[in-house]
Amino acid sequence: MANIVLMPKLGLTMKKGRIYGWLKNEGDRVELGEPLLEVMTEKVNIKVESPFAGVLYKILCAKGTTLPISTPIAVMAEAGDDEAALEAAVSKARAALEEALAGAGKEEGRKKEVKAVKPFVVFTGDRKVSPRAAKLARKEGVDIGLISGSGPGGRVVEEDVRAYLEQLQGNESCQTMPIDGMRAVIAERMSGSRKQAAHVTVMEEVDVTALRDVRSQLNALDDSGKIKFSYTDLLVKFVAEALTEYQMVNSCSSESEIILPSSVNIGVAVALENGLVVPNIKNAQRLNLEQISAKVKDLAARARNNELDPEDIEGGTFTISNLGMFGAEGFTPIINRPETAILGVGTMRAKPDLAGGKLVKRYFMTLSLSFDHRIIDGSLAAEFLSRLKEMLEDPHPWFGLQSQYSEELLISAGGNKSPQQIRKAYQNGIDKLMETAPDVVMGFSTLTEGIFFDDGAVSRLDKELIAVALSVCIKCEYCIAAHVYKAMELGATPEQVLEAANVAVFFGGGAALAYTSTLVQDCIEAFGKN
Amino acid sequence: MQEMTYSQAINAALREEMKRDNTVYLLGEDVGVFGGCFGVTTGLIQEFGPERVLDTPISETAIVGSAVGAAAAGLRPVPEIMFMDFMTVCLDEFFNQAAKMRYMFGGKAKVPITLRTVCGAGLGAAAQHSQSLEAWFTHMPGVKVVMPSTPADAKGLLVSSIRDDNPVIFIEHKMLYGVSGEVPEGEYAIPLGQADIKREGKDVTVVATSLMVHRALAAAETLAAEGVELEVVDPRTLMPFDKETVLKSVEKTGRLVIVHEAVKTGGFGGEIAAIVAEEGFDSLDAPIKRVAAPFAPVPFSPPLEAAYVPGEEKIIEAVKEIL
Repeated sequence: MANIVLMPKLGLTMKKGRIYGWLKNEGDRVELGEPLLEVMTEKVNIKVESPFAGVLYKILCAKGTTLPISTPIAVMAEAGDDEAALEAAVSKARAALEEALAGAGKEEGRKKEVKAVKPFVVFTGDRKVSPRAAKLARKEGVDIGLISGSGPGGRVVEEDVRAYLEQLQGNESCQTMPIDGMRAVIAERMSGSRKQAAHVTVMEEVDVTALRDVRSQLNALDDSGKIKFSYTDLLVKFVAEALTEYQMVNSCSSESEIILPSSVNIGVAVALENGLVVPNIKNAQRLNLEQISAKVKDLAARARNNELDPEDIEGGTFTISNLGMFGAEGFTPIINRPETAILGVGTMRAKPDLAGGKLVKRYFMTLSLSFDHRIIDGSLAAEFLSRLKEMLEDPHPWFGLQSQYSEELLISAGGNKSPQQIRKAYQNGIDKLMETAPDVVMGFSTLTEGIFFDDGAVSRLDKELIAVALSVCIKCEYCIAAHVYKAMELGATPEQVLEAANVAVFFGGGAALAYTSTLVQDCIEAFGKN
Repeated sequence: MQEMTYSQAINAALREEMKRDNTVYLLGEDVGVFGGCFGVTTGLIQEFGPERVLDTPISETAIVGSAVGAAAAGLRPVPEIMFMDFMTVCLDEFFNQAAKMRYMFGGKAKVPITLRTVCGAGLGAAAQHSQSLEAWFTHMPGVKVVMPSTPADAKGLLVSSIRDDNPVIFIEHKMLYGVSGEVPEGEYAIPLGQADIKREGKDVTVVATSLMVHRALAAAETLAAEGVELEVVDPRTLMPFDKETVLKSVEKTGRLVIVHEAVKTGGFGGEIAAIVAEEGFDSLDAPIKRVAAPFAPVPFSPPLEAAYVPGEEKIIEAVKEIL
């Protein structure tokens, strides 16, 4: 059977690789595990072992091409494969390759649709006007100074005057629609709630950087890629948990009574074309995340198709309203009576954050809790919200996960560029140099090959540690970042890296000490978590 | 209707008018036995004899001078000047004699000359055999200027020109002689001073003359595919000029592009632009554009000549600039 060789993923962060050269020709016999090609990633060349035994039938991508990982690069034949089957495999692989390449382009090309801007008129003064437009404006008694021009050089032309006239006419006759059906229900319930409940809103900004990590880890657990947990799913789960601790926030009320329900029924507001509905997830405190996710999707789909049953909407004890997808930062939601509290979810934004003297990139979201002050006191509401924040900011233990998030350092303690930035600048520079002067890059790679990338009398790890020391000694920040990263990738402990750097201090003196105390330590911290 | 070339249509008009009126006669260099430099007068000497189809010496002055005298004396001469470029040689006879006579004699003298001549580049005939000099003759009170673009127009307009009692310069384009088109059967005349809308459209008016009518129509075809509709107006006679048709068209479209093969500076396009600016100012939604040859002699080199003569692309470019 024909086998398709893919661009391998040779490191955790590798997204694409450049084919440095093929070590076998088409028609060559290749054993399983025999070096098949060399791939260049970031700085290093790696000899890729053949994942199959057989004959290299067709090379799809020539030396020098850069491709995303998992893209077909070659087809291998096994004994007994017939020509037709092999050709079929080749065209299938080619199609997948083209699709991957087209997809890569599409990803970049995908942009939010931009609405055309018609500039405002700022001044009434001089304006280029076509005679025809001027005549029409005179006839219609329109002040041409109020019309913006769309003709060549911004000249006001007839069409602009007509468009302006239409706009004026449009303003005169406004559209009227009755408040009935769903709109009437919403109107009655919203104003009723506002009149009845004593609304107060407290807001908290929550660091959801860890929550993002949890979500991506949870989504990666499912191999089929079908289950995708949303932030709403996670919020429902955590809110349900917090509500079991703060039952008062889960309460309902009438004029004379406070009811503490035994279950947590969390409503999720679903926006429809001409209104909204709030179906709720019954007994959310007892459901696992997959069940919650399925329920949220089911309710939202049925809400949009107008297929909800009355019991889906009745019996809610708390509501979540998420306006994050529309970019809202924070807002003051109206309580869904007879409930006594509602949580408004704002948009998620990356922001620079000062943590321990370093400037790091983290993600934040604002939660707005509106509560009925007749039933819930401000201190209780604030306490509930802080508890929720605490859970959301440290979510890993709730799912038995370890943090895989590596901090994105914007400015390090010394006020310098972050190790990631230094590494990235270097990698980008190499990529660019590869375009303009491939010989230099290739030459350098060849120079270090064999000495550097294999275990010899000295292990690869030790060689990297020597390189760390040399980097410090020659005071090259790019070399320091690259080799500390590599050493730690090969399993070096922070102590080993620091000791190697300290050897350099012995030879390099004050300047080497300065680099060790700043950049080397920053690199250890930044790369240590990978 | 019958299919005919531009050259055949002119030949037919000459034959019909010579049959109809025995005061009509032809004269010029090689118009007789040779049938004309471009073959337009083929067969006429055989049919009407050397007394009515005169092969003259190579003297434009003599051709036009004798025609003026004959016209004043009651004949209807149809002299041919082989290339319009040579009109300079006989300009005094045409400009100071033919054009002035009727006016200076208080209308008592008629000068029914139809001077046929040939304009235009495209044959690689260089700077002295390729010019379009129609604007000069529109600057001569007393002369009518006719520039047909199709076989049917050429025939009908030539008939009217011959029957006109004033000097007419009838300008044929050498690149149009081989162009075929539908020509009505039988005798007909197209009045001088009546423009023709060769294609209707609502977005931009393109006024084009002679060969440029065909280029404008090609541009209109291309732009139609992009949703831009050109209205192509062929004035057919520059003097008298049918300004009403042009003004009416610009009133409809609000935009005007003028195309002629003559150099832009001092070209008749300037006159058309001025008429529209004076009398149709309020119709304009954009500046008037002129597409014309650059202010330079016609080059000999074929690639340069092709670049010199306005083409479809330049017309499209001008239209897009004002849309």
